[in-house]
Amino acid sequence: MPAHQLSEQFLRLAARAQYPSRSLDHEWGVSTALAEVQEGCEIPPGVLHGAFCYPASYELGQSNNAIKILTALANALPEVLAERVFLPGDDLRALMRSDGVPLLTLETNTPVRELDFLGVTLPYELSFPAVLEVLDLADLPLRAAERDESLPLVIGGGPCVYNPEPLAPFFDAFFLGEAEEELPSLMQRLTELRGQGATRAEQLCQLATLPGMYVPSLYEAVATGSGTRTVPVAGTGAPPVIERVVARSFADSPAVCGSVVPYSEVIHDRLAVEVQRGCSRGCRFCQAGMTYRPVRQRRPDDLLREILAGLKATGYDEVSLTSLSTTDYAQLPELLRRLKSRLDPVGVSCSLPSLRIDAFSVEAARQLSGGAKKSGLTFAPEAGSQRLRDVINKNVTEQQLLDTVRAAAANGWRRVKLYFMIGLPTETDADVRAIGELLQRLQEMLFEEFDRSLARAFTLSVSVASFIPKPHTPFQWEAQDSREELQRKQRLLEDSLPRRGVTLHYHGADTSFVEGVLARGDRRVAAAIEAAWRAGAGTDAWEGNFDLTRWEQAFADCGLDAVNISQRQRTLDEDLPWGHISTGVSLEYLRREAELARAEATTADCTFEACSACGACQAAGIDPKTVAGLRRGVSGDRQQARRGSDA
Amino acid sequence: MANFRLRFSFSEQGRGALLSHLEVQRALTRLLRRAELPFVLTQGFSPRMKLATGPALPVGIASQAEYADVELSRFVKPAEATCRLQSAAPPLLPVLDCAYVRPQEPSLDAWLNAQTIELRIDQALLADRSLEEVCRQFEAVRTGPALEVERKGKLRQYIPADFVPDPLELSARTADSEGERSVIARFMLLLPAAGALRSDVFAAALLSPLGIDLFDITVTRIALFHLNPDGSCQFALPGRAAGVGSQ
Ligand code: SF4
Repeated sequence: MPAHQLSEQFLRLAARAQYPSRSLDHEWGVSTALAEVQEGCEIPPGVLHGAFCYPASYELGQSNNAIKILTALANALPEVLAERVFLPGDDLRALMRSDGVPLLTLETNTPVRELDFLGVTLPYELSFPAVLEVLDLADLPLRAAERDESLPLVIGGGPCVYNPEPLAPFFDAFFLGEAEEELPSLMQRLTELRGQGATRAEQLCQLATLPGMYVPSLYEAVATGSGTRTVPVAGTGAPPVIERVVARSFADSPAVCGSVVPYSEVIHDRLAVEVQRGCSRGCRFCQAGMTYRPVRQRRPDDLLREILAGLKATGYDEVSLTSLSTTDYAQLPELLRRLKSRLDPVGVSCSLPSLRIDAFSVEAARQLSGGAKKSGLTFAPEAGSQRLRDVINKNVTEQQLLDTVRAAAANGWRRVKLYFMIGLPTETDADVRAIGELLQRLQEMLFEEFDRSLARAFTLSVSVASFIPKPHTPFQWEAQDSREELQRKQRLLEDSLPRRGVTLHYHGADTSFVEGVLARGDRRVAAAIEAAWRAGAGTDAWEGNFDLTRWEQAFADCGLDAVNISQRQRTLDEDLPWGHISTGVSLEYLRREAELARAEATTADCTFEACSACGACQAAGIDPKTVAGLRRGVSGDRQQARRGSDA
Repeated sequence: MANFRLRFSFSEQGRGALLSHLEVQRALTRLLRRAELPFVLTQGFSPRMKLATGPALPVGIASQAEYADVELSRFVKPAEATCRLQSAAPPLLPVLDCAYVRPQEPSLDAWLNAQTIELRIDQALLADRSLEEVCRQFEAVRTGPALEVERKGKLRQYIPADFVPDPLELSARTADSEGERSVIARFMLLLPAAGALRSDVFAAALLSPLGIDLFDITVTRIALFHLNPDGSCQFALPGRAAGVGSQ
C-alpha cells in the first residue's frame, strides 16, 4: 500500500479510537527535517532513518524525557532522521490488526519495519511484554535471530537495561548508560556501516566495540558452580564486561531538549528541566541511585537562561525541575528565588516532583505554591522503624518527619502522602507495626500542636510498595518476600494503623512478584515473557490490566522456577546473570554496603561528606573531589540531625 | 487603563479535526504565549489567560474558521499581531486573521448562534444512488422524528427541523486532480444558547440510513456566524463570508 494511503487509513482508524489526538503528531516543535517529510519531501538517500520508541501510550511516552533527549540528539545530526513511536491504545491496536495496518512512526507514518533502527526505552520491568507488542504490531519477528537484513536493528536502552538478559533474544543490541555523549558516534558509525553495505551481523560486531554497546547474540549464558555467568562467545572479540556510559559533560549539555508541545493532554504536560543527574543518598534498595552515579549538577545561570528560552519556545505555563532528588540540588533556593521573580508576573508556575523530608523542602513548596490551594506534599520515609531505615540507609529520623509534617500543616497543607515499603531485608513484624505507630505519633503531634478541626481534617495518605531486590544494588543478593508473606504483612500493617485520618494504598504483591522475576532473571526468562505476551500480557504495565494467572502459566509452561528467582537468598560471591554489565559502582562497594546493612550501619551521602569509594567517579573518569562534599554546608541539616540522633 | 480585546480566527482542517475543544483551548493558550502578545491574566492565586473561544466543535469535525478573543494590556498593530500569531501557531491550527473588537461586545460563545456545515461524501460510498435519492433520504431525516442524545447522563431529544430549518443543498463535484467524484451537502445548523443539536450527531443520523460511517466522510464547519432575526448574518471578523450557504 502506498505510504500516503497507509497514513490515511491509519488516521481513519485513529478517528474511531478513544483518544484520536494521540495519533495526530504535527505538533508544534517537530524538527524541521521531519516537518518537511510530513509536507511530502522525500527522505534523501543515505539518511539513517530510525525512531525512538516508548513502549506505552503517547500520553506516557511523550512525558518521558529520554525520548526527547534521544530524538533531539539524533536529529541534530545531518545524516539522521529520528522519529517517535508509541504504542496505540487497546482499541486502536485491535482496529489496526483487523485492517492489516502495521505500527507506524508518529511523524511521517512510516511503517516501523521499514526503518533502519528502532531504539526502545525500557522504563520498568512490567513493560517488557509491551516491547513484544511493539515488535509484533510492527510486523517484526520477535526474536532478533529471525530478523533479516531488510529489517531495523532493535536497540534497547533506559533504566531497565542493567540486567538485559531476560530480553536478550528480542534485541539486536542494548545501549547501557546516558546517551548525550555517545549517541552521535553510534549513529555516525551505523550510517557509515550501512553506507559500506555491511551486513546485519557485521554491523552488530562493529557496534559491540563502541562504548556502552552490548550485543547479546555475541554472548552466551554459562551455568557455573555458583549461578549463571554471561560470557562472550569464543572468537567474537566482544568485551567480557560492558561499562555503562556516563555523560561527563552533563552540566554543559542542553537542559531543555526539543520543544515539541503535544495537543493531547499527557501525564507531564509541562516544561521539564533536569537540574541534576544522579543521587548519592545511597538508599540500598534503589537501583536508580546506583545506576545514575555520580551526581552532576547544572549551573543556576544556565538553568535560568534555558528555562526562560524553553518557555518562550514552547508556550508552557509550568516548569518542573526534575531529577531523582531535586531538593538536593545545591543552589535550589537561589534558583527558585530567581525563577519566581521572572515567572510570577507572566503566570508561569514551577513545580518540584519530589521532596526530601525536611523543613527546607516544605518551605520550598510553600514558596512555589504561593497562596494557591495546596493539594498535598509527598515524602518517602520508606520504613517505620529507625532500625530498618538504617538497614536501607534511608538517612531520615523520626524527628525530621515530625518536623516536616508539622511544617506542612502550619503552612496550609491538609494532606501529606507518605511512601513506605514492606518486605525489606531483615524486616520483622515489629518493623511493620512501626509504620502504624509512626503514623499514630504523627497524628498525636497534629492534635497536640494544632487546632482540633485542623488535626481532624488532616489526611495521611499512605502508599505501601513491596520491596523488590534489583540488580546492581546492595540488595541484589536478597530474597524477596513471598506473596503470601507480603499479604500477611499487609494485614499486620492494617491492624496497626490509626483508626481514622489515614488512607492506605498498596502496590500489589502479585505485580511485585513478577517484577522481581523479570528484574533478576536470566535468558531463560525470555521464553516466559513471550508466553505471557501471547496470553495477553502486552499491556500488563498499564493500570488494571495485570493478570497473575497469565504469568504463572507462562512460568510453568517454560519450566521456569520463578519462585526460586524471586525468593532465593544469594550468597555475596554468587555469579549473577548481569555480572558482565558494569554500572561503574563496584562489586566490592555493593558487598560492603550489603554487610553494613546487616550491621544496621549507615553510609553518608558523598555530596555532604567524604567519598565512600563506590567506584562510579573513577569508572566515569570524574574526579571524586568534584562530587564529594559538593553540598557540604548547604542544607546539611539532614546529615547533622542524623549524627545528632545517632549520638 | 482599559484593555484591548483582540479577536483572531484559525482553522482546524485535515487531522486537526480530531482535536477536542479542550485540546484546542490548551493549544491556543500556548500559541499566545509563544506569540509573546501582552495578554492579561486573571487575578487570584492561579492566574489564567483571559481567553474565550466560540462554540465547541465536536471531535471529528473540521473547521474553516473558528474564533477566539484574548484580552491584551497593550495595543499591538493588527498586522503585527497576525504575523506573531501565525508564526506561533501549531501546524494543525493555522491562524488566519485578527482584528480588535469593542470590549463591550457580547461573548463569542453567546453571539455566534449559527453555522454552516458541509458533508463531503465519496460517490463510491453512495454506490449508484442518485443525488435526488440522497436528497430525499436526508430530507426525511431532517423533517423526521427527534434524535435522542445522552448528555451528562440524561437522555435528551432534539427535533432536527428545529435546528436545521432549511432543506440541505446537495451538489456533485469532481476533484480535479484524481477525478474522484463526491457529493457535497450543505446545511445551516442553529446554535441556540439553550443547547444545540451537535453537528456530528445530525451528520451521523443523516448517514445512518445510507449505511455510511461518519468517520468515512469529511464534515467541515465552513462558516460560523450570528444570525439576526431578519435572517441576515454577521461575521465575527470582517471578510469571513465565504461558504455561508443555505441563506
Ligand atoms: S566515587 Fe565517591 S564521590 Fe564519586 S559517587 Fe562514588 S562515593 Fe560519591
